[in-house]
Amino acid sequence: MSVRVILVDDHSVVRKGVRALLEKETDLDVVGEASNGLDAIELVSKMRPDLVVLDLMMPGMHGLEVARRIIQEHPGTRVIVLSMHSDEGYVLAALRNGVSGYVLKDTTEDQIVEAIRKVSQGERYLSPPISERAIEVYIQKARQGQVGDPYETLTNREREILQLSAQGLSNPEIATRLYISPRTVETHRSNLMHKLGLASQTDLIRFALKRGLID
Amino acid sequence: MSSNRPITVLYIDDDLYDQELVRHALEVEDGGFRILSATTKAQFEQMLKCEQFDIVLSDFNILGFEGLEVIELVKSHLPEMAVIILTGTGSEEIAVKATKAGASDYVIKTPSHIQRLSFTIRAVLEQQQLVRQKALVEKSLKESHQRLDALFNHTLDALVLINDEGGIIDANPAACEMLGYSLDELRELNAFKFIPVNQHQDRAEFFEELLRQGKKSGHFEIVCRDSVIRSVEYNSVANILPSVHLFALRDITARLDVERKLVYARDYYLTLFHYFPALIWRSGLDGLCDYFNYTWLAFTGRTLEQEIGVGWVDGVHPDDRQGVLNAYQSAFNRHQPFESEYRLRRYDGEYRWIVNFGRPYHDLDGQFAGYIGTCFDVSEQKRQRQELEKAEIELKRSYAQERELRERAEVLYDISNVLNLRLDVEQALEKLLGIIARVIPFQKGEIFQIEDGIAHVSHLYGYDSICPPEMQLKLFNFNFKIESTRNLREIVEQGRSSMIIEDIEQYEGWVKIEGVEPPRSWLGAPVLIHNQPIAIFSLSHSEPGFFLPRHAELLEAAANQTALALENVRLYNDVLASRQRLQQLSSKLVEVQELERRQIAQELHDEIGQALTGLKLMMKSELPLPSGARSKQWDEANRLISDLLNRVREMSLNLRPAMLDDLGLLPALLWQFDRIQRQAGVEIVFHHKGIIDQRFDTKIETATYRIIQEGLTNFLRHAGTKKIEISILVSEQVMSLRIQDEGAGFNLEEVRASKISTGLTNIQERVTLLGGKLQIRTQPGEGTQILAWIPLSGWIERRSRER
Repeated sequence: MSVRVILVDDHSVVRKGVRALLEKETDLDVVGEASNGLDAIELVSKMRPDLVVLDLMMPGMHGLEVARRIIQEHPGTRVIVLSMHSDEGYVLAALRNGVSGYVLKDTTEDQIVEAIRKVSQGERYLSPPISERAIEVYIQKARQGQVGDPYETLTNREREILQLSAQGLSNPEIATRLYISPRTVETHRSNLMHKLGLASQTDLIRFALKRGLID
Repeated sequence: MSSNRPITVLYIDDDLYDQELVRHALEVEDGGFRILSATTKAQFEQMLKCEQFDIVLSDFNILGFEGLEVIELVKSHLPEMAVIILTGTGSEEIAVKATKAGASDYVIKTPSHIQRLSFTIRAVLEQQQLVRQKALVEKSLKESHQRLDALFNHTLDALVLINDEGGIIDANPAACEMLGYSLDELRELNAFKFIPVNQHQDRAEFFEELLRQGKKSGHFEIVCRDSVIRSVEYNSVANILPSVHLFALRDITARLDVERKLVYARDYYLTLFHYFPALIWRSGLDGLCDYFNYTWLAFTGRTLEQEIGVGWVDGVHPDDRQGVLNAYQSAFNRHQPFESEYRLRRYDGEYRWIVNFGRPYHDLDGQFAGYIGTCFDVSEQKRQRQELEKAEIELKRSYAQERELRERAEVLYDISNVLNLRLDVEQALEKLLGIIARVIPFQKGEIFQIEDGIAHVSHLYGYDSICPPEMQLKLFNFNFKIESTRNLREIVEQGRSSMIIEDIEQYEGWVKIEGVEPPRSWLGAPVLIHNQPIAIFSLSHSEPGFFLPRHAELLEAAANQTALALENVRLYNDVLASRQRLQQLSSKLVEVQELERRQIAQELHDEIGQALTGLKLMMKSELPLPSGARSKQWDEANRLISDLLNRVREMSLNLRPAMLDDLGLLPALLWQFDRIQRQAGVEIVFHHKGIIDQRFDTKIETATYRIIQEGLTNFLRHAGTKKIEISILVSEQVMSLRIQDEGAGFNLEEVRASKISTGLTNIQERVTLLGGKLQIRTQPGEGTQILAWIPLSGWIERRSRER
């Protein structure tokens, strides 16, 4: 029983290339081709293939969206993305949309075939240098820079200035109070406003009230 | 003893003959007697108890009842009763016995003696009477003596009896106590010992006077025992017995002490009053003054004699006298307190203002006794008060001036505000006359707009109350030819900045409008733009000569403001229009640029890239050569294709990463940072909040991406350090960006002025287009910080992706 495959790519040259590659394999059967997302979805509904090899960058509907729709409507059909983008962001987005394999276009032909075989057997395939580990690292990296309670990120000095500023003191007044230069106060003030995502003095006072820093 | 009443005689005799003799002698012959006769003892006893009688007559020898027994019986009942014994024998022995027993007399029973019995009885009774009287006198004397003794011994006053030499004969206990000696001691002393030495010489004189006058009283001091000196009040009586003189003394030491203290206290308070630092006066029931204290007299420089009565009135200022007297009189009559302020002449002739407080006062019994008053010199206070009043008036005047100025300033400010804030000049002019009316109380006002020598009414003020709407409409349609309207013509032709017509009745050529009562005075001012009048403010009033130069000045100011505002509006509209055009162009430019980049990127990626991919795949499949047979050129071509593919992809991403559109800001930035860190070997510290799995409006995502891209480029080119910090924090309203390094920094002003840094300009442009705010802080050597706030309101789009 051979695996029934549909190829989706807006470039015929790519489709031809892949088809040529797969036809050499006896257990793989290319049953259809589509050049855009909408055609692809329609074709999948008609043909009910085992597997779709899908390009991400297509005019009209984006490959990621096409993958999401196919997998949602036809849970039996697996999708392998064939993409130029090796970036983990794309891989992650694709995997989140339910894709089973992600293969780079500049990979070796053997890997495409291997990917199709593995995925059709129910495994997940990511072509090197992409790996599960790299995806994990990517997710970690995105979270790493994330800031928690922004107030917690303020320095003591910034907190002091936030307090005094919310009480209505001007920068020169705060400077006199803290024995520092007005310019330094201004710097701290801008930084703390940035950190708290505040754009104006009104925002600052509103924030201070909400945090109970002033009455 | 009255002779009218018969003397009753109780007579006992058992010899009836004798009885008859006696009866005859007493009752018949004498007739002044009544006889009660008894013959037996029992009978006698009975009568003794029951009868009233004056004397008892008894026979000495009665049967069984001897005369002596009779006497005993009588005396035991009536001790005072006289008993006369009758005896027949007349023996001496009986007489003695009877007398001893208490008989008053005895009479022998012979006719001659009985004849004389009445005399004998009477004599006995008289004798008895005398004895009785004497006893009474003695008794009374004794009582008198006792009383005297008690008085003498118990009176509080000291009593001393002395003889002519002053020797003390007697003294009562009070005297002993006062003088400090016992009576026995005193009897050895001379009274003059107690008189102090300095008073001794008057002793003879004193005695002489006492003897001459019989009595004398006064007081002196005496030296008592232990040299105690007492003040004593005395009363002396000479010769109360021959050469015995009585002195009654009373110790008044304590009393004198109290009196002295009282005097002292009185003097003390009088002095206090006298020198009290206020002018004090007093008047009596007659209203006349009887006291002025020292302070008063020192103040007026006059004597008490000059001031008392109504003398003080002389010192009152002649203009004040009547008022002062009236106030005093009116209060005095009603016994009411009063207060008056008047001028009083001081010792140096200067009249000083004083305040006089008068109060009625009452004696110890609470009876109205006159007035007491106090005066204070208040000239200084009054002067200060007057100065204060003057200052207040001055202040009020300045305040009024200031208020007028302020009102004018406010009006000008309001005019300027109305003109500047309302870009619609028509609307502003509508308000203008109303504002001017706040400082120029005109009745009717118009604004004429001038076009081609025609003035037509564009605004009216104050017509509503005097003019029906249709009339107002008529006015709006009315065209004044300037050359035939004298007042407008004068303003326009003479180039005047304002003009007042004092009295329109005297002003020929005033254009009257049917149905509108012509005013009497007029004020006008032109609105000049480039010296060309484009409008005229026209104010009028029904009173001639109403408008003042300051009104004209003010109206000129308003007209100038209006001219300025109109000019400003024109300029502002021009500027606004060009700025809008500029902004539209910038926006378009950025959009076009992005679009173009995207297209090129797509072109590169889709067309060239895909073609290369296809080619590569086909090379592998369409030319199935044995692996060993693959030529070196074939491998080289294959490698070249891969290389090209990479470069095309790189170019495409540089132009515009598809990721930004496909995956959003965070993946695009992460990719970007990763690439730069790898290529340039720098460290990018990235903080963010609120952007994971979040999508924002494309414009915001693009702008944020580009701003960071520019910031990074800047950093790589100029900072000279290896570390940069980037943070993006998203709150509900704003996306807040910060890019900072601690590198070389630069002089912002110079860079801005030189216009070489397109990077900063691009950042500024992008922030401005999104209505955000940008802050760049940098100094040579102090690093660079770029802060940007981009508002999200209305654009935020959150599309949370499922994991």
